[in-house]
Amino acid sequence: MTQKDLLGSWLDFQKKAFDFWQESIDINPQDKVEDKTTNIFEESMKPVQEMIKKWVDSSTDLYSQGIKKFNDAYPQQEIINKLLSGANLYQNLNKFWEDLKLNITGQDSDPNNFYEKWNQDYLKIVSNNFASFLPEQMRKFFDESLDIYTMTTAAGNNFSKPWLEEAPHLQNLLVKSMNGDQAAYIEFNKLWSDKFASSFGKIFDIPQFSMNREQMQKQMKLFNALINFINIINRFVAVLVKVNQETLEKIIKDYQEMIIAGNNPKTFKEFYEYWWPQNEAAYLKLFATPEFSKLLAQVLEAGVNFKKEYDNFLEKQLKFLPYPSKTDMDSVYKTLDTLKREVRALKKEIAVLYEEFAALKETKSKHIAKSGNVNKSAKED
Amino acid sequence: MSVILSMDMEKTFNEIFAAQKKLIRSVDVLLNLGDPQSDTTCKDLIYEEDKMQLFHYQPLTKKVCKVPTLIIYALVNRQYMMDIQQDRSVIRNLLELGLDLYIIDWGYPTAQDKYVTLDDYIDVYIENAVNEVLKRSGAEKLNILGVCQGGTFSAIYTALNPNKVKNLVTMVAPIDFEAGAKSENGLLFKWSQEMNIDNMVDTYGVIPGELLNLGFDMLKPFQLMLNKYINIIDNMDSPDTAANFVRMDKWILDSPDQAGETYRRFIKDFYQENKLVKGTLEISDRVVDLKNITMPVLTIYGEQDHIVPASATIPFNDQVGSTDKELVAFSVGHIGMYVSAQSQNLLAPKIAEWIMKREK
Repeated sequence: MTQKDLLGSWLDFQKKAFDFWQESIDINPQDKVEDKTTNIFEESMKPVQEMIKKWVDSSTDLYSQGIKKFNDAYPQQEIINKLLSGANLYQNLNKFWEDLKLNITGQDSDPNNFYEKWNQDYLKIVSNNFASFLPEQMRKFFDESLDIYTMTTAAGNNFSKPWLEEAPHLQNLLVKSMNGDQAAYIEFNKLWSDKFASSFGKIFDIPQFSMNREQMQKQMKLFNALINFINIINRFVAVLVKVNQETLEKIIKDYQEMIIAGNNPKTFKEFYEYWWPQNEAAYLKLFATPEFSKLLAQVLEAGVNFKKEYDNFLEKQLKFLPYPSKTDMDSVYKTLDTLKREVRALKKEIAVLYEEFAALKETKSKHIAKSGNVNKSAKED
Repeated sequence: MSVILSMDMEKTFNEIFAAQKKLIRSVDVLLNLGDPQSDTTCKDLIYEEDKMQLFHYQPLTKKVCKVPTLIIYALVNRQYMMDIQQDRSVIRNLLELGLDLYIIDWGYPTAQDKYVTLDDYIDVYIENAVNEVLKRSGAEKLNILGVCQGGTFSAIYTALNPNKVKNLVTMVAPIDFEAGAKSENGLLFKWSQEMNIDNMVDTYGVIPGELLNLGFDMLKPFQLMLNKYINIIDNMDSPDTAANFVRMDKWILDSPDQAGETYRRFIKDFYQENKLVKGTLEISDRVVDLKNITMPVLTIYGEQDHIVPASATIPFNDQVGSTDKELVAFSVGHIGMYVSAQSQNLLAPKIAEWIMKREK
C-alpha cells in the first residue's frame, strides 16, 4: 500500500467516524428537555460538548501530524500547513466563543473577570497561527531562542565560565523576560553589562592575556548582539500583545453590549466574521503609527546585527575546514562581477568597432566601385 | 429561552462538525490536486543574459499589432501573475486582442548577484531586451507595459531612452514615494523610510524573499494570514476552486531573493529620498528627467491597492512631459488588478484599445 493509499484509507475512516459521531449524538434537546430546564439541559450537554471537543481536538491533531509526515511529497505542502494552522486557530477560537456565550449573558456578567480568565490562552491561540508565517530562520529563532541562548553561552564557556557563575540567575531572568516580564529583562541586561564591565571588560584590556582574545571578543559581540535582539523582540512582542489584549477586552465588552441590545452574533461563524475585522483594524491602526515604523526598523536592525555577528563567529570557528568561507565567496563574486563588467564593456567596444569597420568597408567598396567606373569611362574615352 | 439556547447549541455543534469535515475534505482535495500550473500561454525564449530571460509570446490572432509591446514586471514576485491561469490571464487576453507581446523574466537572484545594480537592470538588462525586441520585430520603436516596480523601471528607462518607446503604459507602479508614505494604506512606504538598508544589504548580500513576504503579509495580517485560509476551507469542495487557490498562493509564496545593491538603491533613492519625483535620480551618471517622457502615457491604478497606494501612482501623469496621457482607475486591489473578474473584462481591452489607437 502506498503512502497515498494509506492516507486515503485513513481519510475515509475519518469521514465515516465523523458521520457516525454526528448521527450518534442526538442534538435535538427539545425532545428531551422541558422549557423550564434550561440549566439542566446546559449541564447535561456539557459532558457531551466536552467529549466532542476533545475528540475533535485529538482527531485534528492526529490529522495534522499525519499530514506533516507527507512533507515534500506534495507541491502544496506549505499551503496545507498554513491551512491547518488557520483551522487550528479557528477551532481554538471556537472554545473561546463557547465560553464567551456561557459567561457573558447580559448586564450582570462581569467582562473583566472573563478577560482575566482568557488573557493568556487567547494570546497563545492567536500568536501560534502568525508564528507559522515567520521566515523559517526567524521561526526557529523564536521557537528555540532559549536553546540559542544556551548554545551561545556554551560556545564561550571555556573562557567565560567564571563569569557565567551568575548564569543560573541570568537564565532565570531571561526565562521571566521571555514570558513578558519587562522588568526582568532590564535587570538581566543591567546585570550582564555590570558583570562584563567588571570582569571581562577589564581582562580584555590586558593585551597579552590570551592568544584567543580576538575570538573571545567575537563571542562576546555575538552574545551582546543576541541579547539586544531578544531585548528588542521582547519590546516588539509586548507592543503586539498590548493591541491583542486591548482588542480582546473590547470584543468582550462589545459582545456584552450586543447581548443587551439583542444583536449579538448567534453562531460561531457570525462571531468569527465579527471578530477578525476587529483585530485587523486594531493592528492596522498600530502599524500605521510612526512609532511602529521605528520599532520595526529596530527589530530588523537588531536581527541583522545578530546575523552579522553570528556569521563572523561561525566563519572564524570553521576556518580550519577545507571549504571556502562566505568572505572567500564574496571575493570570488566581486571578481566575477568586475570581470563580467569588463567583458560587457569590451563587447560594446567590439560592436562599435565592427560597425565602424563595416562602414569603412562600405565606403571603401563604394570608392573602389566609383574609381572603377572612372577608369572604365576613361578607357572608353 | 431554552429553545433559543438549544438551537444555538445545535447550530454550534453542526458548525464544529461541518468545519472539521470541510477541513478534511479540503486537505483531501489538495493532496489529490497534483501541481496546478501557471504561466502556460505559449511563448519562446529569444534572449537571455545572466538570470534575465526574454520571451516572445506566440500570437493568437492573424492580424497582430505592428508595434511590439514589452512587459516589464517587478523584481519582487514573479511575472507569471499576468498569466496565472488560462481563464484569468491578462497576457492571453492581450494576445487575443491582437498585441504582439514580449516579457522579461528576471529569474531568481542568488548570492553571486549581490553586486548587480539598479544601473544594470535599466542600462543593461532592459536596454538589451529592448534592443532584441526591436531587432527581432524590425520595428523602430516599441510599447512598454510596466507593472508595479517594473512600471517604475519602465518610467526610468523611457525617460532615458524616449527615442525607443512609442507608448508607455504603467500599471500599479509606484512613482511618488513620499505621497505613498503619507497615504493611510501606504504601510510599506512608511516602514521602509526607517530601515537601515545599508546594514541589511551589507550583512545579507542578497535579501531573502521570505523576509519580504512577511512584510507583505503584515499589510493585512488577519486577512492574509488567517481569513483567506478559513474561507477557502468553506469553498474547497471543488477541485477547480482548490486549484485556483493553490495557483494564487504558490505565486504569493514564490518570492525571489533581491539583488542586494539594487535593493539598497531602491529603498534609499525611492522610498527614503523620493529621487525620481524630485528629479535627482541618476542612472549611470545620467539624471532621470521624467519630463523627457513625451510619448503617449497610460497610467493605471487600483483604488483599493494596499501595496502601491493610488496616491503613489496618480502623480505620474503630472510628472511626464506628454500631452497625450490618460489616468484610469479600477475598483480593485493590487492583486485584483491581474485576476479579478472586473480586470479580466475591462483591463486588457482598455490597454489593447489604447495601444492600437496609437499604433501608427
